[in-house]
Amino acid sequence: MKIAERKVGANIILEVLETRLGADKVLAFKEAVGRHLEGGAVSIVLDLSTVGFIDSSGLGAILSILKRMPKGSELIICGITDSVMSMFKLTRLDRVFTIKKNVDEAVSTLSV
Amino acid sequence: MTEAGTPWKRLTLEIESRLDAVPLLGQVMQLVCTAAGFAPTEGSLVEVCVVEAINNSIEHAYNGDHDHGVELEVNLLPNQLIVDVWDSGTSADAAKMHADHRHALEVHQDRVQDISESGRGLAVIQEVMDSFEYTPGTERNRFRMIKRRDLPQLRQDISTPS
Repeated sequence: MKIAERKVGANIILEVLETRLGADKVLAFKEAVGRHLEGGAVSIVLDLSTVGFIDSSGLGAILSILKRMPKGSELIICGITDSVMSMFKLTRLDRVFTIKKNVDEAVSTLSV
Repeated sequence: MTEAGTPWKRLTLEIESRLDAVPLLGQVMQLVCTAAGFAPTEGSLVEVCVVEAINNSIEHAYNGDHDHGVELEVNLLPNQLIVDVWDSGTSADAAKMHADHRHALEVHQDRVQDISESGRGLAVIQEVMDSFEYTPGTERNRFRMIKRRDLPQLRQDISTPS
């Protein structure tokens, strides 16, 4: 699982560098993102701008991260492409996640 | 040509029953959907449906075993796209497969911990495809999905006798 990481203040920006987030990538994704939650409260911006395909397993993996977020932390998703957004909408999960247009917009909503 | 005299295109591909082989068929479906004239977003959802059906074969019919085959058969007819996913694993209960699964798409945003992380595949297929049919067999199981092609060009072709 290729993910680029960078910190902005106390928050972490994770850019998924995979074009597809499907069932074959789910375990690696959960592990790569989930390890950032082990240190306690930290908000995560998940940049999906490279991801052009997601299936229900991929959505489930992102949902599992949301459910594991420590209290007081936020998970913000940004950079969602049209095809991936159509899956968020179809599954109604666009109502569950905080979604922003891009990283800058996502970061601006977080307290640094 | 089919018996009815309409032109069609047929494609068959087979992969090993490995989840990491599925993207290859997904990418093929992307091309098929483009060729079929589906809008990009609609085509990507059709691709998702095909991937979900293949994942089901690998994860449930073969219980994750790698040493089997999953066959994708695509028939592109003037008015519809027919996609068959074949496996030779354990058959599922057809009645359960055909039940309405769309309740899996209901979410209560104020109860995030209660939202299931899995179980949306069939619901997505039921929502996107015009129809689907699961046919268990003694040798092979078939998961058929049909999507209508309602194209302006197609409508013109149909209404204009040659």
